[in-house]
Amino acid sequence: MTDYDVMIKAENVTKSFDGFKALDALELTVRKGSVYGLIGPNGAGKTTFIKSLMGIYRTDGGNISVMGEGVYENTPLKQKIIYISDDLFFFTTYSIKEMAKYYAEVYESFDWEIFEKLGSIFKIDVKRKCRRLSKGMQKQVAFWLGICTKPEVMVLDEPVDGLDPVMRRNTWAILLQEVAERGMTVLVSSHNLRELEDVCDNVGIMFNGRVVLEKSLDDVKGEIHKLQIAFGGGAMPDELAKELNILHSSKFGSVQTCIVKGDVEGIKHACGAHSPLICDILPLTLEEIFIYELGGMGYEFENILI
Amino acid sequence: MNLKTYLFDKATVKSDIKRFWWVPAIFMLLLALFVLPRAVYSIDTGVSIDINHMSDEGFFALMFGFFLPGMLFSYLHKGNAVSFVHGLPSKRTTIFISHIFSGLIMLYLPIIIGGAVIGAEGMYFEGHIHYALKYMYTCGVYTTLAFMITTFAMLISGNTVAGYLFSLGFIILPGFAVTFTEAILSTNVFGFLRFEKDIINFIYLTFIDEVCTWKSLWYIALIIILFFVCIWLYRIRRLENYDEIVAFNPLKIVFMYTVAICFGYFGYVIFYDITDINALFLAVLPLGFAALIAAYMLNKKSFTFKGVLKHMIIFTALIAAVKITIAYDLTGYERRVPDVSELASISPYDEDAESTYYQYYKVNKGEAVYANKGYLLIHPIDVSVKDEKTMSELISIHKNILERERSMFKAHDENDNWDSNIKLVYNLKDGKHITRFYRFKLSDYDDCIAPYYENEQYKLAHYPLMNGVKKNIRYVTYNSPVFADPLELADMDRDKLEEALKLDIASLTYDTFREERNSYNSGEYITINYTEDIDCEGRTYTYNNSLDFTLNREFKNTYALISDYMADHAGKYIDLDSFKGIYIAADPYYEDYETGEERYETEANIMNKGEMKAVFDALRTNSQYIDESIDNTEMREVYITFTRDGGSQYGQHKTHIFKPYNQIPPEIRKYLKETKPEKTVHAGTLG
Repeated sequence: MTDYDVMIKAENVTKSFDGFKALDALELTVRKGSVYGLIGPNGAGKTTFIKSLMGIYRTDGGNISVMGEGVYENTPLKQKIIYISDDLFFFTTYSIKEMAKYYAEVYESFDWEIFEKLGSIFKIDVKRKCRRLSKGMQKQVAFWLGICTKPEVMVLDEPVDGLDPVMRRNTWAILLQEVAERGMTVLVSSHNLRELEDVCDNVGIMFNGRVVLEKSLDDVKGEIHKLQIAFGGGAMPDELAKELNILHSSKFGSVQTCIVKGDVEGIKHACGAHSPLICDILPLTLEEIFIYELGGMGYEFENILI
Repeated sequence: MNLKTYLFDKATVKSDIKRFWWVPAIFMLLLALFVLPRAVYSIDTGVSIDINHMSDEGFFALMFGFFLPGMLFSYLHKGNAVSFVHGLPSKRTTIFISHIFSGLIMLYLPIIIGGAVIGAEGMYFEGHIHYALKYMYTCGVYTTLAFMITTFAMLISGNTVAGYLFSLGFIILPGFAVTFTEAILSTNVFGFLRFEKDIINFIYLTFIDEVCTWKSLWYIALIIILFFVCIWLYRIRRLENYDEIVAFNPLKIVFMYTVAICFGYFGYVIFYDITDINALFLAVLPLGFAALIAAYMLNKKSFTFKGVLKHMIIFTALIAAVKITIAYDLTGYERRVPDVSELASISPYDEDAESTYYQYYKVNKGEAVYANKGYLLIHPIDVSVKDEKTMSELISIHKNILERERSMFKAHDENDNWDSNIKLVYNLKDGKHITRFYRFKLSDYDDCIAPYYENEQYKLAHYPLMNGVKKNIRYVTYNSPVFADPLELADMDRDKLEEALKLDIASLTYDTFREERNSYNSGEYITINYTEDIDCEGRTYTYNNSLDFTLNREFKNTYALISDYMADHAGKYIDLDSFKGIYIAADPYYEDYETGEERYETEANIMNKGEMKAVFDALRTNSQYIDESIDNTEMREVYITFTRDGGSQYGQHKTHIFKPYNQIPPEIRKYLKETKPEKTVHAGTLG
């Protein structure tokens, strides 16, 4: 990836709150025109990173740049970035139209034509007060206004939380259209991994203030697989177990299910040498990748019985 | 860099005005309802505006200046709002200045409109807009200062309510600190003088006609300083600290100890007021600890005691240090008596005499009128003692006072018998001043202190009549205990009277000062109302004053003039024949619970016309009477009532005298017991 391709770059970013390290030497790179999914457990530091990226928080160390420039107090650069937070804010007395006027004054590239066009999609009366709208409708308004500013970078924190399924699809469709047509870059933080799986080009998994995995979704998926295997003798031969990079293993009857890192052909070849009765290699969902990756770092799913 | 876009964001200003337009609207409405009608009326009618009412305008300006920043900067105290505002493409400085700009527009607009209305009225009726300018200037200063103080408070806090409380705290803190420091020091430091000038009024600009004084420039300077401090704070503020009581970590500890100290000493003063027990260390701790713990918990945002013990120990050590410093005079303040070689002069003041006779001059924009609190006070006369011998004597008296009174003060034995308040100002050669203030019983220092009350300089300082400035006497009245009303001495030779008074004052003795101190009252007094021109700070001010002189046996020359005058004005006395009797009451009184009447230990009803005449004549000349053969000088108060037929209250003439026993004329004295009886409990009183 050349520097020209990089839209967002975070290098060795640290940020502490009262001694607690929310970001710890964080490294992250987002390609221009890509959709980057930032995922991680609660408290991993995703929102802190996003607010630092937006120049809301000042970092304690390191560097965050967008298009090669620091964002903090960089007004021209911030004209090109839109941030839609999980916890939205609108001026108390403002209607959608008034908020749009405010955005139009703040953002030089605000496009009223797009505003009118999107009005037919979102179908919300522009005279309605923003604060009186439901959470889902407020999210729609935030997208609506954000898209109208024609940003080069859109930073989304839990973007579709609260949207109904139809509006989710609409929203993603609009976003992806902007990515496709204008080369807009999207950094999205969400816990809805199923949805991210459909839209993201790249993912970064954050844990304890660091990005512990950052790859294209295809690479991630090509690296980790679910292996369902059974042998005549019952148990998996020890040699095979040592040969495979098994992240997680469970057994149900004679079928052993393993989460294995490695390419499909290599796994197939290793398994074939031990003549298994059954050998299926299945792709993993992003959610499974998330769980098994973090499982190895001590953030594990527990079978809790109360 | 485009400075205009760097400093000013149109969208922010428009949004502020759009959201908070109702603030100036209410401000304008209040001005229209409460201020403009009175101001317009006063201009229309030419009636001067009551200075106390003018503070209303300041109040509204202050109030709105106080409240508005809480609304403008409340987004700093909410996570989503602060993310939204600072996620927008604007610099911090731009955002801050834009809010300040929009806030001031909203505050100034009603003031300017109000000023324009008053100005138009002023132009129409009086041909000038002087008052309108004063009005706009005052309100502008008030509102901007309050606005900047609250802005500062909102920036250092992460919570809007706390921000308002801090702002209120900043506004009242100087007054609180001065009041409580005075209260604490005056009850614990021997010789401490309550701040000479009314420092509260010195700090707070309170009246509209003060705005053009230099004090308002301090306010403007403070506004400018606060503005730049606030910009700096806004730039360095950690926006993640919303919801914190104090948004800047280093200030949390300052907040905690300030709150603890304020509440601690407040507790001490209240405890002292209630119990009269002066426990500077122990009485501070309960409220101080409570406040410290509360502030600690607020800082931590948790009901936790973990870690607070360390701060309680530090707080205790601080209070103990203050207590020890004061108790053992570690600063040497109490024992400090300058050596005569250090001194240029000493200015001794008798505060009680000052309050009786002395008037301050107020200097205010070319007019010298009656002194009021909060104005520049000057002494027109230098009362300094400069010769080494006298200075050495005064230093000896000072040392004597220290030796005798300090231990009593330290033991908190209040010694309520003191009747004198003496202030000593040492003017050092290096230009500095040392001021001490003592209370004591004058008679304990008779031997050494008497000469200072009899010397010319003291009289010069305490009687404006003696200050050598030509007096233009406007009127003189004389009152006698047997006058129905004071008599204006219209056709008396005023120059002669002035001369006579001066002669008498010059010969007044220490004894009469002591009697004055004990509220001597002969019922005979002269009031002189005059104007004089006083030179002060290179300007001449015309000053109007009224002086009362209670006549005593030493006002011989004055009394002689009055006697001559009264020989031709006998008709002014009450008509003795129209009264049926005289009732004389003296000494302690009690209330008879059975009848509900006030009764005196000594009572007499005189019905005999001859005896009544004797009492009447004795009252006429009582100021001059003294029987040197009687040693009893105990002060006695006698109430005398000339009664009508049937005991009717209507038309009675009441008077009273308060004099040493040996100065009460025998015609009245004979009704008194020689020794003042103790207050007794009568059967009726137990009811």
